[in-house]
Order: sequence, then C-alpha cells, then structure tokens
Amino acid sequence: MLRQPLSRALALTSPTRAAPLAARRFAEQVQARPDNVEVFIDDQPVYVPPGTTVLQAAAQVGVEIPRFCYHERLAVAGNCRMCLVEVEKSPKPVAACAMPVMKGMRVKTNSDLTRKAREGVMEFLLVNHPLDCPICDQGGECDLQDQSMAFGSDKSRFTDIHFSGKRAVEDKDVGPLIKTIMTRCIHCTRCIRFASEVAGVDDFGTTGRGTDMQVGTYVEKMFLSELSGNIIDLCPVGALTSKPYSFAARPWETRRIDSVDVLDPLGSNIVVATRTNEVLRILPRTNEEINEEWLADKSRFACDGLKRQRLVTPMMADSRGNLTPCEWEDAIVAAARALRDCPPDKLVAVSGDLADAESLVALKDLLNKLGSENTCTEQYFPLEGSGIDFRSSYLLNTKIANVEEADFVLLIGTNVRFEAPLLNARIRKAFIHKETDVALVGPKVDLTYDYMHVGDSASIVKDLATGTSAHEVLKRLESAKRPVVILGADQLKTQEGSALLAYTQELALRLQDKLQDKNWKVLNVLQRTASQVAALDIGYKPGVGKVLEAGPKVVYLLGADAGVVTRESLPKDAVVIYQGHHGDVGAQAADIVLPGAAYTEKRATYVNAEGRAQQTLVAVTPPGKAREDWKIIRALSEVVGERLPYDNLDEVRTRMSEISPALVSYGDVQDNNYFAQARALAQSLQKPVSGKLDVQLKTLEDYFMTDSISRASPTMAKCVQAVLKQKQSPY
Amino acid sequence: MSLRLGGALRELRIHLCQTSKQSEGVREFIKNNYVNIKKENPNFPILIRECSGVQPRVWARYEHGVECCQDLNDLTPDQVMDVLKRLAQ
Amino acid sequence: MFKVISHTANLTRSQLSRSLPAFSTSATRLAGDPTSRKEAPIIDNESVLTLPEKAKERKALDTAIVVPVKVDLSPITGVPEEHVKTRRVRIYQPAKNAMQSGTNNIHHWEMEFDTRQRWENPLMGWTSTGDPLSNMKVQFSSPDEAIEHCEKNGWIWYLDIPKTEKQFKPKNYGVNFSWNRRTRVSTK
Repeated sequence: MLRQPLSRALALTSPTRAAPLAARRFAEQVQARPDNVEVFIDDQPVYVPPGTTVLQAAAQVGVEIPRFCYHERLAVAGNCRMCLVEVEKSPKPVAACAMPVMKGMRVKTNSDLTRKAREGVMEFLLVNHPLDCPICDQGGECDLQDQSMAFGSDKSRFTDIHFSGKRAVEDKDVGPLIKTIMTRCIHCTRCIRFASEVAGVDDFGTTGRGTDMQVGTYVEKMFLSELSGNIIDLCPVGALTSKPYSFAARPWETRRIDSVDVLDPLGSNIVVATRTNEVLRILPRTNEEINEEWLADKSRFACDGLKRQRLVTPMMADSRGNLTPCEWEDAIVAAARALRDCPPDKLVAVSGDLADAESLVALKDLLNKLGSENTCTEQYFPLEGSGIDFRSSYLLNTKIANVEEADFVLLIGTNVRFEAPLLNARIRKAFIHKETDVALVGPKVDLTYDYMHVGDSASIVKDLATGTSAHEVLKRLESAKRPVVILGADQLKTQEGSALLAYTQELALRLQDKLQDKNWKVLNVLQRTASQVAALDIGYKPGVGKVLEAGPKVVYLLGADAGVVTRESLPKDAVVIYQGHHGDVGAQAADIVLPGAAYTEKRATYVNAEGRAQQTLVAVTPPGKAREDWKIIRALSEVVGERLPYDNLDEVRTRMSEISPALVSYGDVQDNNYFAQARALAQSLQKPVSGKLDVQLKTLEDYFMTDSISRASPTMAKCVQAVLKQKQSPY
Repeated sequence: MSLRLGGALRELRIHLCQTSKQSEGVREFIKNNYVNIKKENPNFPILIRECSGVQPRVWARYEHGVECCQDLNDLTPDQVMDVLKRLAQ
Repeated sequence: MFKVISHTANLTRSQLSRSLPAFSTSATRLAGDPTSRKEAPIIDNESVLTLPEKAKERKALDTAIVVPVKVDLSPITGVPEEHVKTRRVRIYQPAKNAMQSGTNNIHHWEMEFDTRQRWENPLMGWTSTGDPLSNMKVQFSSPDEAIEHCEKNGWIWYLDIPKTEKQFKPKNYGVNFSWNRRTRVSTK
C-alpha cells in the first residue's frame, strides 16, 4: 500500500530528519527579529512571532505534526485531535494546531505520551470507519491510510464489531461533481470550513451529535459553487470524491504532468494525471501567486471534453459543401493555394480563446509575409488612444496575489466570480481577513460576499473618474491606501468602450497618484480568455468588426469558436480555413479544417491575465492525425512559398522573444508602467457614456460552458442541468 | 520632433527594461515623446514591451514581414529619436 | 561540468621541491647546530614513495595552468544522438499531491524528459511507447546537481522553480470567535 518502506514512514516524526530548505531558511531569517519568542521543538530552538501555533513552529523546524482537520488556508478547528503533542509541564497533551506558543515552551513531538495519543486518536477514528479501501477512490492518496500506517497501532480493540457493528450514514447528493460516501467521513469539518470561508456558499454543516453526527447540507441541496471541486482535495478520506473520476484509476498507475490551465484567464497551475495517452483527471498545483492550491470547477472537470468532438483528420468541403476527411497534403495544398491567390488586404486571421503564443506568432509572421496586416482577435479591446501599445492598459496590474492586500476593491462591469473564480477567491480572502470592502458597478450578481452596489449605468464610472459622484464609494476610494479597480474587458465591446476605458484609466490614475506606496498599481482590466493577452502582446488587433466590413476573401480561424465570425457575415466566395481541436462553431463554418492540438497535448505558452507567461507541457499526444498548431502553420508556410524561419520549438521561442521578451520569461510577471501616457492619450476619448453595464455570466449555469472544450464535456452538461434543477427546489 | 510613421513601415516594437541603467534613455524617451508621436500617428502600432533584465532594442517591421532591429543600449532620448527616424525612412 | 583542478597547483614550489627525493637540506642548513645533527631528517612519505616519472609529472604540472573544460559524456553514455539532441529536460521540484497534506516527498529535485507518444498495446491493453526515456526520472537533492548532470550528458534543460513560498502568517484559534470582524465563524 505504501510505496516507501515502513522505516521511511516512521522517520516522518524523527526530529533528526533534515528540515526542508524553505523551512530552514525561514528559521534563520526569523531569528533576528527582536519580538520573536523562543520555543523548543524536540530540543531544537526556534524563534517565532508570538501567537504562532505549536504546529506552525514545528513546521518551521521541519517537523510535520500529523493532522486531519487543520489546513493552513482554512480557519483552525482543532476537532480531530491528531495533532496532540506533549508539552513539558502540561498535564495534558495539547492540540498543536490551536495552541499558541509561549516563551520557553518545550514541545516533544515524539515522546511516549505523544505517540500514545496518536495511536488512541487513530484507534477511535478507525472504529467507525468502514473497510472500504479496496473500493475507495482515495486509496493510495489517503491521509487516513498513511497516518494509520505511520502513527497507528497494529491491533484493534473494537470488539463491538461482533455485536452492533460500525455506524453507517446515508450518502448525500450534493451535485453531479462530488460523490459523497458519508460513512467514510471522519468529521474533520474541512469541507464545512471551505464552503463557508473560501467558496462563500455556507451550505455545509453538521447535524446531530456524537455517533449520530452527520456532515452535509441537511436538505438535499446541490453545492452551488464554482469552487466546489476543491472539497474533494480537502477531504482527507474518501468521503468526498470526484464523481466523473470515480473508479477510474489508482494514483500509482497515473503519470502526473505539470501544466497550466487555459479555460480561464488566470492560468492556474494544474497537474494532469494520465494513463495510456488518456487524460484521467486534473488536479491543482500550488502556486501562491495565482491559484494558491485551489482550482475552479470548469478547469477541473472539463477534461472529459478533450475526448469528444475532436477533430482527428484534416477535412475539406466537397462539391456539396459537406466536410469530408482528406489527407494532410491535400488540405495543406488547398489552403496554401487559397492563401496565395488571395489579395493581401482581403486575407484575415482570427485568433480564438485557446490559441497559444507559438501559433499566434507563426500565424502573424505568415500573414505579414504575405502582405496582410489583418490579424485580429475575437475579443474586442479599444484601439483608440494608446490601444494595446502599453501592456498596462489591458492587464491586471495589481497582481493576483496583491489583490488580497487591497483595502478597497471597485469592480466595473465584471462578474469576477464566474469570469475568474480564483481572483474572486482572493477578493473574498481580503474581504474576510483584511476587512476589505467591495463596490460593484454593473448588474446585481451574487459574488459570495457583501458589496456596495453602486448602480449599473456606465455614467457612474464617468462621475467617479471626474470626482463628481455623490456616492460614498468615491470617498472610500480616495481614502483607501491600496485601492483596486477591476474593469471587465467585455464592457469595452460597445461603441462606448473606449470612453469607458478612458474614464477608468482616469479614475485609477487619479487614485494612484495620491498613494504613498509608489509600487501599488490601481488599474486592472480582466480579460475573458487565456489567449487574449498573448495575442495583444504579439500585436494582434483586437476585434473583427472592421475587417469583416471590408469583405475578406480568405479567413483563417485559429480556434475561433466564439461565434463572432459566422458564414453569414462573410461574402459568398470567402474561403474559411479553421485550425483547432474541437468541432465546434468555427469548424462548422469552415471549408478547410486542419486539426490541431488541445492544451494538454502541446508544449505551448499562454500568458495569463496579469501578463505572466506560463507553459503547458505535453501530457498526451494529439489524437488521430492532429498535429501541434505552430507546426501546421510552418508546413503551410512552406507550401505557400513564404517559409517561416523556424524549425523547432526553441527557434519559435527565440522569435517570440524578438516580439516580446515577456512572452518567454516563464513564471515571472512584469511591472508595467506608462499609465500617465495612456491617460494623456485617453483624455480626448472621454465622451459622455450612457449605456448600462451588463455581464455575460450572471449565474452559475452560465459558467460551465464557455469554450470549445467545456461545451464538449458531458460533465459540464450535467452540471448545467443540475443547477437548473436546483433552482426549482425550494431550498 | 515630428515623426511620420507609415509607408513601408508597418509596426514598431520597443523592448526595454523597467529598471536597468541601459534602458534609461529609452524610458525617458517614451515618457516624454510617446504621446506626441502617437498623436501624429494615431493608427500606427508602437508596441512598448517591458521586461526586466532585457537589453533595450527597437524592432521595426516593414512590408512582407521584413524586420530590422536596432540596439538602444545606453542611448540618450535624442539618440533614440534619431534611430526611430532612421527606421521610419 | 569542470575538470577537477589539480591539487598540486596549490603546493608551492619550495614545498614540492622539498618533497622530491634529494639531499635532505635540513642537515646542511643546520650544520652549525650541534643538537640538531642528532635528529633524523623528516622526509615526506609521498616523496619517497613516488615514482620518478610521477614526480617529474607533478613538477611539470606545477608550472602549467589547468583550464576548466566542459565535460561531454554523450558519446560514451550510450544514449542515441537523437535522444540527446531532440529531447528537452525539465528540472523541477515535484508538486505536492493535492489530495493529501503530507509534504515529505517534495523536497528534492527531479529531472524528466518531454513526453512522447504512448498508446494502448492491442495484446493486453498495457501502455506501449517508442520512447526509451519515457520513465527516466532522476532525483537530485539540489537543482545545481541536476543541471550539472544534464550538462554532462548534453541534454538541453530548463529549470522550473515552483512558486510555493508563502509569507508566514501565524494562525490563531481565537479569530473564530471575534466579536465584530468577518473572521467570526458561523460553523463552529
């Protein structure tokens, strides 16, 4: 059951085990501070700020005290009692997760009393725990299994099993994503605390006392949160498991590949678990600066959409207009002929939601070599004023991690909860821990925290920017030391978009100039898709309106599935070439289909909403005859006659660094400046605005299917159905 | 200080570092002159791409994908202007 | 990565010449001192046991300068050239399993290769691959060791530093019961 020999497992609590690098470094730094208290963990002195818990102090030394209910990102509960350690001069063992340290405290984490306490706690937990290991999904990655092997005793004294047996609890239905087998629950209350604090949906709780205690929603209610999948990770036992992944695989037979999620603009770090070229599940990876250790539901569960509706062969429209499979040579030759014969100004490329930076660069190079400047993105961004010249105009300048330090947040025309769930989780974190207040300009939506609803007309932004607003929000904004203004990129679609952006820039800069902290940036624009920032960095012109008006002859869709380019909007003789991985809206409208690779199948660069470049790695290979996107464009360029100067990934990345060096500085986010210049140019755009701000994703059922992968996923479809059904329920 | 951008020149990309000394001139140049240049050429893409630790450069893209790169290391703002003027021809 | 610089370079000329088998100089220098003549001269064991060729070599090395040279083992490791030139190595710290809270197995560094195609074998349904390095995961205790290993073998590597450092915030049980702060917990 355990991969490592028992001796290594037993060494877990040994104080002589080398402390991990990070912990050791921190202990050295902390020593210097004068207000720290000295504590002895297993006779090792450590200096910690007063008020730290014993468990945290031990973690600094490198001693990991076993626990079930304690989680560093949730409130302290102290109900599992597994963290009991002996403290000298204390009559009873203390719960390390809750006990604050005192000066000179001597803690023994491996003494006889501590070990007896752990064995006792483990014995009690296993009394009523069912013997489900062979059928439990958590087997192999179960905290209870590992800790019982490491800290439990070998014998059981549960004689009552021959009489009344173990307790059993009914399963609860909390939705199509979470499978609950509540008999296995050890009542650690992590799910309750997560739902209450991080997700903001206070639906979980305990009912009953003692043996009859049950964790659940009391009435049959779906867990209506976009972060619901995280309770599957949090549950230390197999009580809450993933329904789509149930009985699929054991953790030791999966290969885990680190990658990045592209179904929302934040680029959360993920681990793709695969077996035999099939993606089984997606788990979050800790990245303190983006997603901490959470992952949104769409990113987690939409992976079964990677197996359906896939484009596996190149296709060409035959004489009757139906797409029929053909060979790569035929498709490429036909596409090349269309590109070559097209007059340069009538050649258009449109990039979609999930396009990676390598293929964007290759496509732009190809089009530029052919003499066309019409590379555009589906998502609009106003090009008037400074447009996309400055990165600070279209990025989240207060980085995601810094949002939790804010003391006032103004949201303009964005439902952050469904557009970027993990950014919302950060704002909620600030709301709870730092007493941050939030104001929203837009339609009244449920953001999981209380906010001031200022209104939904665009003129409010104008009033705030010019300082003429009568609302108290203006006073709060101006008195805040770290204000954050987040504008949703969707609002910039309309004709008033540039004015709205101009006013927001004015407001943000007016606030920023008054701040004492010169490094705090106020203006943030939240893009909707993972590819938009990279496309704007590379120089794609946002928005297809203008190029469609001109009547293009050849349209190259790079995964463009948002339905912005339709057959009706194009002239009758236009040739549409679609390159993508799912047979969605774009492929339907196409004459030539070139199958590309999805984000788990290629090594590609995606830039997230803060401007951080990250790369996805190859977890599985593309199905059928599909190939990597930039290679298709490179092959096409060869046949067209304008050969692109790169043959392997390193050369493409060199070319990317020539376009924008931030595209290849992986993992780092840049500080962007020149707000004043952008504002200077935006002054002339400040026209009166009158429209109403509306968001696309208002309620949970809108959240699940927003791009080609999630639209193809049966799990996402079930979620939508379940949410609609839950709306009918009286609870 | 007028700079007409257009004709064969299709796009200008300026790479600079936010803090290093070599990019000081480029930073000053953008701070002082960008607004005017953009006002004269409102539809011309002058992409300013900052990245820490990078050598300041300007890339000019002409017709048919032909590109030209100039190093802007340790130049004063006026020298940067001259480089741009040269590229614009 | 670099050849080990010869230790003899550290020895001074006089030390080296003293270690060579020659007349013991101490006797001639202290000829005037009557008490020292009775003492046997202390001769270095190394100098006695070294072969004359080796001694000459050492003397020659003492005058020469050793230049570090990049070690390239790829011709002799037996890895086919295609798998040295086309493969990319990722050096990383393994991610913590999201389903568990233990962190014992993430404090080392690993190197792995880019994934190539794997398919289901039609005979038994097992996973087949044509990639000899598909299961090659070597563990190191520091990223420098991993980098040195990759350089020696000629692989192109890149370092993926995880962003797991957190600012230390002391946790407090009492905030669950705060009177007017939002950290007051409704679910006790």
